[in-house]
Amino acid sequence: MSGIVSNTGKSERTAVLTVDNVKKSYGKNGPAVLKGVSFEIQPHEVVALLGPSGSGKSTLMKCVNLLERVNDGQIWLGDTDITDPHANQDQIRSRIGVVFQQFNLFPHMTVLRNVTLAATEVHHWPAAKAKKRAMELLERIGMEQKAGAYPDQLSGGQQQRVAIVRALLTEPELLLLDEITSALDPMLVGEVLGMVSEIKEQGATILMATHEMSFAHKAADKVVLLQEGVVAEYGTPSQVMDHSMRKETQEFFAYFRNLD
Amino acid sequence: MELGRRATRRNEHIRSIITSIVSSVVLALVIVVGLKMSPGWPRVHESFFSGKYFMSSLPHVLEGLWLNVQVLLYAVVGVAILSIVIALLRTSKSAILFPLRMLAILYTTVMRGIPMIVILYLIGFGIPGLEIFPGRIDPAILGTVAIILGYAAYVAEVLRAGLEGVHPSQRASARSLGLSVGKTLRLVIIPQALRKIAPALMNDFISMQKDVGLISVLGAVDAVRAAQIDVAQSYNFTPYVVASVLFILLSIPFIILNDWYSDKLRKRELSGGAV
Ligand SMILES: Nc1ncnc2c1ncn2[C@@H]1O[C@H](COP(=O)(O)OP(=O)(O)OP(=O)(O)O)[C@@H](O)[C@H]1O
Ligand SMILES: [Mg+2]
Repeated sequence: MSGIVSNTGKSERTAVLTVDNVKKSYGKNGPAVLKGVSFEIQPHEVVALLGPSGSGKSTLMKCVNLLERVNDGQIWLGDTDITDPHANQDQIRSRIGVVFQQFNLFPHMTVLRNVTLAATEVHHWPAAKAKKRAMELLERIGMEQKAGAYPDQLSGGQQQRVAIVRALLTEPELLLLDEITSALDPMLVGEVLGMVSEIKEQGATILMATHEMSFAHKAADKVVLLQEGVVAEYGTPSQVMDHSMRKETQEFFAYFRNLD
Repeated sequence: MELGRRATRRNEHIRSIITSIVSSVVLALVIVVGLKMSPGWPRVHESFFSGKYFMSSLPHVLEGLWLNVQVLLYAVVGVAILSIVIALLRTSKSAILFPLRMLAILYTTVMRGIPMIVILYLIGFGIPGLEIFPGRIDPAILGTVAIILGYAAYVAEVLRAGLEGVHPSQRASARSLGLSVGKTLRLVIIPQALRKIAPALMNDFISMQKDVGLISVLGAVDAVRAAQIDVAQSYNFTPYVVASVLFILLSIPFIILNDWYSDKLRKRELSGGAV
């Protein structure tokens, strides 16, 4: 049985994503949101991006996805400098899969068309190949019957899982997940996180911003804690979330432990 | 119990049908009798609804209507192209396009302020006056140009509202998949915008269908002008009624289509679905 993620082929030793001293503010004189952020993601690694609301997690994701421009610093995808103004932006975006907080499926397209759009329009796959692959993936999440349905006929959890399939179909080098469960009914969070665990098992490389601390602890290989526009902590979940000596880090995680 | 309720419901339904038939017949009678009893009716009947003049002017007016239909077809294509360009300019954010964006705003503001018939006069007599083109320009062409220029301003504003009504996250989502600016517009933004504004667009189309009759003021022999010529010869106004009937017949399919589509959209919205 084929996996959701293909992990064959690439045997690069370099990091999948290198974020190097990235600085970002919105507008000309806006306050700095990112004040020099650096970290790396190795192949098949799941990195959880944690931090208080407004700490710049989404901003960093948007910079990686080229929806925003960095003011300074560099971001490398494999060995492509994606912050180079001459880089082919559409081509870079097509190498990264993205799922946002709001399930941004296209409401006027069926599930199948949503999922195959990038494959046929950007990667120029033959329609038959895209459809076959899409049906395989939808079957794996038990949604092959919904291929002809429109997004508004699905539950939030189903929509979000379709959005993940859409991001994965063309086997991106990196998957960006920005708080993909925070708009969901608590009952539906489990099914979406379950799917993330599954694609992690199959070797996807993932950067995910989340407020689901117990999931981050369980699923992430590395944790990046963003505070005040810089990487305050970087390490394994256990190092950062349980054993940090830093007072602000302890306070941040204590707050979430109290919520549980 | 349930059977009894069903019977009551059926009875109510039949009663409401009978009531509406009766009230329609009564209203029709009142209008017809009222007209017939008015003192001037025989004269009006003769000069507006004469069977003889109806049949004799029908071929001329029909021939003229064919010109209206052609003008309409060209105008639809022209309006579509021009209004899309204007709407895209108005919604663009790029700095290079700033002067064009301003021009687009000026254009839509000015054009929507001028009555259609004045636009027709300005184009119809102004362009030949410039003497850029040698010889006489067919008034039907000038009329078509005027209608395109006038309606493009309205349609552009409708399109702009539609484009701005599509949530920005849709664009972000499409760009994230690697779709180019053009494909994002064509596959994601425009189809969603069109769905939202289809009823408004169809309304504009229906009123444009009428306004193509205005090209007669430039001397093009369309349905209205053909009717006018017949009227001038006979001093009987029936040819105008012929033209009206033909314009109404032309518009009915689109009016039905428009009502049907608006209804469908409303039902979908009521059932909670996004469009
Ligand atoms: N488009 C924008 N224009 C101006 N300021 C923005 C914009 N987007 C975000 N910001 C600001 O940048 C800061 C970081 O926002 P960001 O969305 O990256 O935070 P976040 O860590 O993702 O927060 P959350 O956990 O609430 O999603 C905030 O102060 C926010 O107000
Ligand atoms: Mg965010």
